[in-house]
Amino acid sequence: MIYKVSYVVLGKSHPGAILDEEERPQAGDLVRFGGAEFRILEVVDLIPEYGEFAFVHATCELAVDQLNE
Amino acid sequence: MTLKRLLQGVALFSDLDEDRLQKIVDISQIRDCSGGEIIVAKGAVGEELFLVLDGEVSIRTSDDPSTAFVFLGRGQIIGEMALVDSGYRSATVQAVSPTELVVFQKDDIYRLCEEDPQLGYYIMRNLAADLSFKLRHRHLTAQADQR
Repeated sequence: MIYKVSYVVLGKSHPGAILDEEERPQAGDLVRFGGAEFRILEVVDLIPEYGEFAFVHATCELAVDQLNE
Repeated sequence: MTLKRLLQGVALFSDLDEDRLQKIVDISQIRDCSGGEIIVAKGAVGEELFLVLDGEVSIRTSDDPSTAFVFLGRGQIIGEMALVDSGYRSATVQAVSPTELVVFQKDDIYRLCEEDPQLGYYIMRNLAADLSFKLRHRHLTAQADQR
């Protein structure tokens, strides 16, 4: 299964990203895109799976160590 | 892994059988971009569709590189709006890191779609789904900005 993931960052701190992933992201995972690292807060299915593809929305926040910089 | 296998894992080519996937491989070119390279300039004529094989690109509508409104990574397509409406490029696309792209000429895609309408249906349906997914992402981003 390929997971097409819409990563959305809370607040206006970062514009987010769309990436294909080989594993479904999970809350608590760390993910890097756009030059920063983020912690995933919530993952929901955005639209129904189709064939070998799943379409997922992940809400993120900047990882704690970067918030403290 | 062969390019054919890689393309099999891309939503744009969902439902294409081996023969049709080979037709896509036959019109593809690989392009390596260095970090910071401008891949598409806003306002330019769009004659190509791009697929990110590896790396990451930023998308922005202003000249300021810090104003990206989304980052796109592996498996994502770029330039689909100009493919659909033949308009000028609506945004600037810049490689954030060393990035490997697959490049398709718009005319080659149109030719394949006209020669094989079933292939054309799959490509255009998947292209519409990709645009829809990006629109959903924009809506969710706008909602998150208000939280």
